[in-house]
Amino acid sequence: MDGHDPIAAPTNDLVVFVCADGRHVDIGRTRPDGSGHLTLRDGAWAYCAAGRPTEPHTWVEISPRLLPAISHEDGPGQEATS
Amino acid sequence: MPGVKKVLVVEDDRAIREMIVAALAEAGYAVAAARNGAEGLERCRLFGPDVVILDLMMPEVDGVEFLKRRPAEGCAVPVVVMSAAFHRGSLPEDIPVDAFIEKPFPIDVFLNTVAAQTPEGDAAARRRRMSRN
Repeated sequence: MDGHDPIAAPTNDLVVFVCADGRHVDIGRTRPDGSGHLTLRDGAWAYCAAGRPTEPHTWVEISPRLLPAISHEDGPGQEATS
Repeated sequence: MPGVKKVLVVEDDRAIREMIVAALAEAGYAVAAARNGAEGLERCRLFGPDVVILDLMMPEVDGVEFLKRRPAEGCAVPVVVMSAAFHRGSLPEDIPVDAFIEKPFPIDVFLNTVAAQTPEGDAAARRRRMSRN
């Protein structure tokens, strides 16, 4: 550990943030649903369909849902909550 | 410390790795971490874990390569693979794993899965649940 507070652990299996970066969304559309990258943000699961691009993500909060319920067809906003 | 179970976490995503390390440490495990399969194999030899938590999709040496190499690298301990369901198919059928945790997961499911793979793991999990209630 390098001195900062540990990241809070997720209490459920729901995805709460998705990456809405335009380039990442475009990359994600070329890949199967569910094959992207999962990480953590604010103690909740976050998903980027592009996998592990080097550029920063643009996270948007969505209504929490299971990973299989997230598809390219929903678009990058995924019913954003804010 | 006698009786303390040792867990090695091999995960490239910093946020997930640090969260898991903190959760395992809080649960009473001695924990070491590695950022890819190559580091993981080295740490497995040096740290001597009771169980390895292994991500599949990592740079350089990925989880599948870790599993292929570990018998020759002296890492013969139970392995819990954690990955999104989509990537489960990348596990070769001839390389068995001891457990699979599907990302995303709630932390209690993760800790119970690890406990089940460590000696006296069930008892440790019961103690942990009781101490939190």
